[in-house]
Amino acid sequence: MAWAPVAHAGGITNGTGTTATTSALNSTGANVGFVRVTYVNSGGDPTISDSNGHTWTQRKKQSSGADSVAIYSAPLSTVGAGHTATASLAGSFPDLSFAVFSGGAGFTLDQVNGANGAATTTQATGSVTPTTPNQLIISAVGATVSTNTVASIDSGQTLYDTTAADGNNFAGGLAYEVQTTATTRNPVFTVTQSSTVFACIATFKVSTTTNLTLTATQGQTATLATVKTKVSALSATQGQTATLGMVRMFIRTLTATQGQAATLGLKTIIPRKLTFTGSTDTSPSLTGRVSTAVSWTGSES
Amino acid sequence: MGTATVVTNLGKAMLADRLRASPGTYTVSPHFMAMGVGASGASRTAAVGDTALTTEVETRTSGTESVVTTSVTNDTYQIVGTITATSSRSVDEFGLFTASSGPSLGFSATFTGAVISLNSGDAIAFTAKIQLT
Repeated sequence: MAWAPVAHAGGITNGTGTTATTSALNSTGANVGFVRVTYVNSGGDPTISDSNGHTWTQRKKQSSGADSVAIYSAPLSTVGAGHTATASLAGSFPDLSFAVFSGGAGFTLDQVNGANGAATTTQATGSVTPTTPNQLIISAVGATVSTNTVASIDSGQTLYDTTAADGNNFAGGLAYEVQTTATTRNPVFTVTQSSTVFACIATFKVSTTTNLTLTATQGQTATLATVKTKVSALSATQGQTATLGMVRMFIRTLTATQGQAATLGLKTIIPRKLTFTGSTDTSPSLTGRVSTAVSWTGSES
Repeated sequence: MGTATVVTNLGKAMLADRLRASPGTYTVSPHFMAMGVGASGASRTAAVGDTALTTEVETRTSGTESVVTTSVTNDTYQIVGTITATSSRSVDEFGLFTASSGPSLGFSATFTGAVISLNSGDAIAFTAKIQLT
């Protein structure tokens, strides 16, 4: 199953400098969540949590001095409407984006990179080349200067929720791309005001296990319907079962070797000779009307 | 899935040998599972004369053996194991071997019409069965 976006939401602090919570999204159908958080790192990294109690892991952080942007992820076991994400640390002035995806069961981090720029309106994340096809690429950005906003991203990435700088919080944004072919990416974010911009990128792959059952049958079964024929020799080799239904035939030689079962149903048989050739346990049997005497030749070895 | 499966000539000899109280030649069961990527390119279909895979990849894995019922009680030898790709693979052949290396192929399968594409880290959980009839 391929990665696919399910829902996304953004958020920003309300002046406390401690906590930011996104608006609610409906994560039904998703199995992986991603958070982009932009913050002041002088007190450390904020704690990322969500309303459904999942465990979040920082995948990449890019800092320019005390200013940071980071990407977090979490496998989602509990999903549904009203799902929010929260970043919390006193003095960190966090703002964040929250996006959830399907098709990520068993996902793992593949490649990461990050880069900074000063007095710029464009900033590349740094180049990554996924090691496998079909990966999800998450890009994140933060930018200083009040009233700054994230305007766009190139390289075929889709820009999700952005947050505008407001004098307390940074501008920030999260973008994604689902690749079908592993292709090098170094997407460039564009912001509206020249500022310090810090960006990072992470790629995520999903390993799958295919169940395959292969069956071989040792031995064969050959079945004849009612026949009227003259059989010169009826024989079966190891592991085979030769079955004849109602027959009327002249059998010149009925031969069975080790492990064979030659079965004749109701029949009128005129065998000239019934030959036993085998090492052990060979037991051709005749039932029904036998019109002539049967002689055995063979040996037990 | 367009799959061909056979017990090879070596496999038949092995089955006979291992019926004995003390097998003379095949003292190890065919529990080494291998996959390959060369059957399609070679236009190969599994056949009784097979002695090796066309292009075997990855390390053979030692599977978990059991006897299960298909038609008659306990008439089927079953082995289960998982092989993980260390790079991108287009898997189209499989075999059971009596050794961790070498051409001791007892069970041969090809699925050239339904190649399984794996990325690095992906795996195939194989279940191979030999039913005696």
